[in-house]
Amino acid sequence: MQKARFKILFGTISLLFLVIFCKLFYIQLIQGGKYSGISNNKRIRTVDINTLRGTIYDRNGSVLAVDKHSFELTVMYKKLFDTNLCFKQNILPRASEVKKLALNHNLCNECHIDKVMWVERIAGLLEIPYINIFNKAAKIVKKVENIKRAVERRNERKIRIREETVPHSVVSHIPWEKVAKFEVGMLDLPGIQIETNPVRWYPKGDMSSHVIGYVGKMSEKEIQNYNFKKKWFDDLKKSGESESEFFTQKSISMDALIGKNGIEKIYNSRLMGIPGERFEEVTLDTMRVNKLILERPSTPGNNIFLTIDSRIQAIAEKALGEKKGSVIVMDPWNGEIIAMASFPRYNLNTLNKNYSALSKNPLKPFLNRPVQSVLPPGSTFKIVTAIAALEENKIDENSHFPCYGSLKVGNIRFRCHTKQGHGLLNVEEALQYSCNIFFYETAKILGGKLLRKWAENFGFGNTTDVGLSYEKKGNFPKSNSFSQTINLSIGQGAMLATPIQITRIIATIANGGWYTKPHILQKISDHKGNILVNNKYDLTERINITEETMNIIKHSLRRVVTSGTAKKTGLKELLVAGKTGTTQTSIEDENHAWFVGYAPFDNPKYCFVVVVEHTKGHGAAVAGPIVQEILLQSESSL
Amino acid sequence: MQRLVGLRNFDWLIFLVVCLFLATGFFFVWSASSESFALKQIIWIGVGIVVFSALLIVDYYSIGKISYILYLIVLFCLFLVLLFGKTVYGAQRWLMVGHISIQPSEMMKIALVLVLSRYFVDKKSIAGFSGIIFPLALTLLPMTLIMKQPDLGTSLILVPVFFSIMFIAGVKVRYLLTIIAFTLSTIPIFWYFVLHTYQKARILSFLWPDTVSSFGAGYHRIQSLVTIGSGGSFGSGWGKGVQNQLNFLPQGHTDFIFSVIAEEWGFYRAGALLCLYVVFIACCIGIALHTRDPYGRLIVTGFTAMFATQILINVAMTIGLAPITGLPLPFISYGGSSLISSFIALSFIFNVRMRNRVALAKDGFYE
Repeated sequence: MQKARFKILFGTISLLFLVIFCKLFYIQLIQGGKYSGISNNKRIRTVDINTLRGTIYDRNGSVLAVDKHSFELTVMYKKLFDTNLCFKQNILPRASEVKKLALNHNLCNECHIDKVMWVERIAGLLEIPYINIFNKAAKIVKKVENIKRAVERRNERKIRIREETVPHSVVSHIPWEKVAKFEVGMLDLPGIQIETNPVRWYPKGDMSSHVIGYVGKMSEKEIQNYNFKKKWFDDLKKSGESESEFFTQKSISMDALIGKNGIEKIYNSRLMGIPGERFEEVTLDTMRVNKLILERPSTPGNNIFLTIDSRIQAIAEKALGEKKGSVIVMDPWNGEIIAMASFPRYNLNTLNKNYSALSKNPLKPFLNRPVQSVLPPGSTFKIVTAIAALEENKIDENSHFPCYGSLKVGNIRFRCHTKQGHGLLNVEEALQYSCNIFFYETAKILGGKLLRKWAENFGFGNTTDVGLSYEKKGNFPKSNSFSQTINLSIGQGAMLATPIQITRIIATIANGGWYTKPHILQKISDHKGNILVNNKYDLTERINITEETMNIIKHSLRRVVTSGTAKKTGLKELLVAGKTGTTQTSIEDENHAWFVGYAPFDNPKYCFVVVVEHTKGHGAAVAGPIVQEILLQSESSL
Repeated sequence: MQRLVGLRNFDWLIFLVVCLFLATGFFFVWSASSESFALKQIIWIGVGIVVFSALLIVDYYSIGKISYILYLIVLFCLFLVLLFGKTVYGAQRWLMVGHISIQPSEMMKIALVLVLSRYFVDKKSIAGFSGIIFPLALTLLPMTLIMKQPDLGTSLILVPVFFSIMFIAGVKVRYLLTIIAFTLSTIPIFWYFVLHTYQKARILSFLWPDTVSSFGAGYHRIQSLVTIGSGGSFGSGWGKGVQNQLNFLPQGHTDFIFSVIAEEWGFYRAGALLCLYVVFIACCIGIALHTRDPYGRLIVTGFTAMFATQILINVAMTIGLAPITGLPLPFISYGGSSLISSFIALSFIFNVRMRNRVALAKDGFYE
């Protein structure tokens, strides 16, 4: 009995396999043509449905970057290709006249005059020179051919790529009056249509342009290197989950805008969203859509909320004015960056037009100075030297050193900034008057190794990972000689730091010894408003500094403002505590003017770093007023 | 108790066939995703072979003895999954133990085969319908739990496993038909109370592909068909399938790997692969037929039915003959859990073959 039953079982299974085999035969060999999309005159094409890029908000929800709709004229690739051929063969420019001639003389039945007629029509309707359209067509054809060649080289055979079957944008930013006119006139122009396309719009113009960054089309190189497949799988691995249940999609098309800098670049994959797709059956000759097969709607990108407060950002940018430099305002208790100004800036909305001029500008407007400008920190570094010496018990609050205006070490004479000297002073007074000699003497006892250890404790030579692209590391060199150590102790020499690194140090002083993580991303939400990422950092790790040292430093920083190097700046009334810095550059009479500090000194709300690069004045005189204005304005308008 | 394990009884033919599957799987996982996935697949194959060899050393009888305990443990895990499981693709199928995620529903297939076989061997003769109630409960309980995850595909695999074991165990066909009739009458209940919206959409898109307006369900089906169709007779060559390489086909490296194979290898080689699967099934049934031990016979039958169902449903799904259920193709699809469970099942089949024991008496195997 069992043998029979086994026979039945195996018979059933084989039968089912046979059914599957037949169906496979049917699909692959009999219907193969239909499914592979190649039949005599029909073709299934996929068309991308644009999605909206996510919006970037500041901490209060005011918009920094958003997608706006604009009208675009799109033309099927086949038409563009033919046009380009004609263009190359010089069948130009008055196609209609040529055609008349040709008809009269019965000349040419082969050439493509019919195929260029549309250019004239469009140029007339939209009132633009037709040569623009020809140039654009040539550009698109070149681009697509390049991609095609790359794909074919990769696959080692002829391939018809998707870009060849979809419409391409030829004219963009068409005003709506012309759109209306066009819609009436274009009924007999198959393969040409007006589409709405999102354009990036930055309502605040040049405000915090470096932080926001900008978007652009992928360059040819990026397209060629873009491994669609790999990208998708990497993203999938990272997220662990996907928006939809069972389909994955290639996420980018040739014309897609991707972030090129700043937040737009860093969170590009978040912001981009998933474009939808439409599968249509088209007749190849006319490019008319016979029927819509499937449509997958698009998913808008995620929205990004920054910690920037655009009100304070505007104040900071105004206060910085037209001075080359940077301003950072940060909350010392959680590391949220409230303002990050950099000058020179660029207007994000006119960037495309001004790009070449901007990139040639010697002031380097594309440099995001708060994170990319590496400068010697100068006297602001004395805070670190003081802490190091106090903590290593090399000095205490009663250690006094005399300052006679200069100090001779070996053959080199190191100077203080006053010729007559400060006399006998202790660490508080030394910070207060920013006496170099005191720190030279301290560095002598402390030595290069310990100084380096403390500088690294405070994060010199390491990025802060604030969340912006191309952040610089700075540099804290190994000190080989005695004179080098002495130079380093006052923040000169080969030491380089970014303003954001200095901000992190002053935040640690302001909050009484906690490490902060400066960050600019507050949260990410999806288009429905569900919060996906909440980027909050608590103060968890303490730097190893005793209470007494902290008090000495805090006390002296307050004294800098009340009676020290920054006493004439009017910051005293604003309850500021801080440290000035004037760093000499290689050029005579050009300094970097620093002011770092926090306010109010007893319970800090903000900590800030202001640096003006290559200026004539001194720290307090140049940077002080900027701080004053920021604090005055932000308090008064509260 | 017979301890002799003869390596000469090792079934080299099945082993070779499985190796061919694994190699095919490796290359097409590579083609459909990326090198990193393919390398991971290699690692999983390695782990699978270790598990396979380790289980060969153990006598399947000693595992059979604790089959009820195993079953209960896996059942408990299924409960845990529903309570604490990790959600991937909207379904809660994974249980996290440290950094390793396990899928108890895969293990359930194996546990169920062991426990059902054990029951029918212990029972000796199934006289009345009442003898079927208990195994029915053994099957339905995990099925409900797995369906709740929701994982329709895996829970449906348990059905043919259950039926084929009963069939070979000698249960009267009348009873089987009764159960089938009863099941069919409960379909409306399932439709309205158990199935999720997306599962309904998949079934609808299978039954009436033109009427479904929602994109996802129909999309997958059509893409798979287009992928297979564009393969033609000889295919586009490995790594050159347009549909696959341009990522038109979702999940090409897991559930839809057969579409990728069909596109890049074409009809003849994809058909040959199907034939290899038939050979594999035939060999397994041959082992079940020739073994002289009723317990071995039943577990081999169960596992063979499991493999056959998985292969048939998976391929049928890719060519549009079955709704999309999310079942991997044994030994080929990417995925650790399914590979390991396939290897475990294979190990049991080999185990039975190698310990081809003589039935000395009609009963009393445990003494």
